[in-house]
Amino acid sequence: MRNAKYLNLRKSVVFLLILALLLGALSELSILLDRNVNPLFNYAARDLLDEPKNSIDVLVIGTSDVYSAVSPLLLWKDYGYAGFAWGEPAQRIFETHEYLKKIYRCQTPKVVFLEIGNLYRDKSDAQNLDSMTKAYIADVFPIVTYHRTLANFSLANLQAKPGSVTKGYLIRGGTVRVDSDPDTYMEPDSGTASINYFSQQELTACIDLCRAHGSKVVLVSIPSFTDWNMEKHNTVTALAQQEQVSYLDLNVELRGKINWDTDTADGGKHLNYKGAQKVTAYLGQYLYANGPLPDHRQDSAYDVWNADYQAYAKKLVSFS
Amino acid sequence: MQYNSWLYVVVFLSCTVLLYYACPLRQRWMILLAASTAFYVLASRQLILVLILSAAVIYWAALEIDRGESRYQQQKGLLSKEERKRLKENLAIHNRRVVAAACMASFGILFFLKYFNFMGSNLNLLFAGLRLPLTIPALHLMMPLGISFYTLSAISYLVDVSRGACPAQRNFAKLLLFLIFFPVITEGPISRYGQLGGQVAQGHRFDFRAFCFGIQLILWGLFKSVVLADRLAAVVGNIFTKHSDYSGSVVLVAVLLYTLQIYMDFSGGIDIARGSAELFGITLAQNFARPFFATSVNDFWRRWHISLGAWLRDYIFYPISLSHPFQLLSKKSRAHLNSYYAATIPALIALFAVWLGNGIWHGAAWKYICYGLYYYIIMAAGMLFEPLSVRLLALLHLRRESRGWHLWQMLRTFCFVNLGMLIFRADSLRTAWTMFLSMFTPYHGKSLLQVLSSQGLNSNQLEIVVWGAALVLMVSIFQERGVGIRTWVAARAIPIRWSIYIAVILAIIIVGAYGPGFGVVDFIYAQF
Repeated sequence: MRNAKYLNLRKSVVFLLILALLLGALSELSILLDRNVNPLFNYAARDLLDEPKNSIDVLVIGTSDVYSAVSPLLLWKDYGYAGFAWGEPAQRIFETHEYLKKIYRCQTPKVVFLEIGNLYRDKSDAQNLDSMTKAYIADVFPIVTYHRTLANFSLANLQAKPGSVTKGYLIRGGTVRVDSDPDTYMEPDSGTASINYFSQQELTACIDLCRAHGSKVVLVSIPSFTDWNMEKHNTVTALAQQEQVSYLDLNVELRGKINWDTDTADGGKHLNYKGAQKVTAYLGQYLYANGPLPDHRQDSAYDVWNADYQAYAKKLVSFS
Repeated sequence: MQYNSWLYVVVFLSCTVLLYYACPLRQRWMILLAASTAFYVLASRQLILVLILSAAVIYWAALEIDRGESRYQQQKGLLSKEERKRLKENLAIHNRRVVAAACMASFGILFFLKYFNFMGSNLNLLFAGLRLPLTIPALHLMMPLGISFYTLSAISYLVDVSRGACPAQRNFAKLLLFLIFFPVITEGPISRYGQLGGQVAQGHRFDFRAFCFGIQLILWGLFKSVVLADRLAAVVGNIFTKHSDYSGSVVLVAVLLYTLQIYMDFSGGIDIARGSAELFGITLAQNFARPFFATSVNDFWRRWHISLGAWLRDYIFYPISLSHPFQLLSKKSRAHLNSYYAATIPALIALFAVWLGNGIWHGAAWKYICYGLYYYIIMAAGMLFEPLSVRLLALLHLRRESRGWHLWQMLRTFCFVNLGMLIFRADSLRTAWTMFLSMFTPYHGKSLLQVLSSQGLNSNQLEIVVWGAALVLMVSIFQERGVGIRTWVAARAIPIRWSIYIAVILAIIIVGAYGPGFGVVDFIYAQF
């Protein structure tokens, strides 16, 4: 009886080990295969980890709004700032926290823009705790995040060149104009939109982590006709004051400058290249005005950035 | 908390299992109660008080019945035959009153929270039609998790106690655990106290084989739910929402896909629930038995949501059929009709209440009531025309036992079921009717595959659905032939057995419809 118990326990442990090994190997493969898959899933965000150690000064991290609206190579062209956009679709704040931990192992950005659209993704406690669990699992087995690269397996992806020439930005050339009444965008409202307790705690943890590494934290909302409003703005403004961090609501700052007929890729949810130019230009001016960041354009260690910019400019031509 | 979420599978269930077996045998039920309470509070917060109120009413009523019975047992030896009879009759009347009061309270809560606004809006229409200056305001009512399920379980417990079919539970916490047990609270199966009450209240020793069987069932349920049902949710939702843009084959395929979705979703959820319970050594009732092999709608409902059908049979059909007025009706029928119709006509009247109840249980909307009555009409027509059908088959020299006839019956039932699903899924009865008619109008837009692709089911996704559904069909065929798949897998050598487990786990993780591009999909039956 006792022997049978130990035998079962041993078998279970061996089974779990085999499963863990397989999941580990498949996780690596899923990351390797991420090149060239549907760009909307933008797994190229992880290319940040391939950048030379401590070479990134500006990090923008968050949801698909980040990779749609922030083009680090425009910052490079105009100011010589080395930036990276780590955006992933529907990224949760718990994932942001895990990614930040990973990023700080190889980079120490001087400024971190935390895109806070993800604070409103999960509403209930159960949803938040589920996202938290998934983020922890994904940290050990990234396959749970990148599983779609395996589902759409293609050997060609294995041969793709690692390293993002766009530094995480996804060029979205198309335009699908907003269908709704433009006056409904950011209508004045003094109300608030509550943030779940767990999400808020995790945001605090992210801010603390960035501060502990000496990074300046700026909360940012990317313009989105469909996903942002004044209630959210009011809540995040209060939250930023409470956390003593700056908050840039580009929905407010760029109101009137973003043209919802021409600057959105999908009817107001995400920005296209025209919108991204405006957002990136604003962030560049903000960075320039708020503290000296090194201009690396003449730095030989950053020669590859000039090459990347050329490749990026070529891509832009093909889009136009 | 969704049964197919990371939180449930990796954290909640694992921790509960560890705590359960770490606890002394006699206290293990307390772990289940604590876990079930946490599960409930996470989903419904303070609405747990509604459940506790229902449980308290039922608890009191069952004890009241039990006390009366005890008094009778104590006194009956001291009484004459006549006095005993009178006391028994008084006790029966008292019990009926107690059951009626408790049922009214429990159903009252359910009806108020679930049906108040529906009834209010219909009454408002009536008032407007009669030009009465009355308006019933719509209330913002929150539904406690699983109210439709635990109310039926609670009523069945009380009625069973009054019938002497099971003893009253004297420990309120144990009764509460029976009602709130986390694997069944979201979407059933609707449990009977005699089957589940004792099991949850006693501690179970760890049984490796039963534990592995439980995990098998959970994996199978996750496969059906995450790989298939959740993948279909978007395309079905999109086509049903924009149904006026489509017709012909597109609408037909959308209905078929919805039938597949709801089956995978509901049966997958039940598999996870049953598997979860098996991890604690608890066996839940079956809720599905390969429903698409049914040869009639009657047979379908013996295989689909079995626990609901059984509840309606035991607590609506039988009480009506065996009631005094019905006995009189049967007697009169026998005097005026032939033996077949003498038995059928009273049954049809009782069945009307069953199917009306089935429809109302599903939701507060006319479409659900019509959904129930739709099945009633088909079933009633089948019963009424049965003698004619027998004669017609004999005339055509068709054998009912032949394989061809069996296949025809399955196909016919499948068509009826799909039409029922159209009523069930459409926004309203009008929409269901419009969609039904549009099936007969050819669609001249993009090809079917292009439409499916544009609505969220591209060729890769479709391939996964086809292969996944084929696998489920294959397993169902084996089960229908009496092969126990879980026993078969458990009997394989380790390399084969483990390969099967790993293949299913990897299939769920790799081709599961979760993450970017897929929204969060709630279990369909969790909303009832």
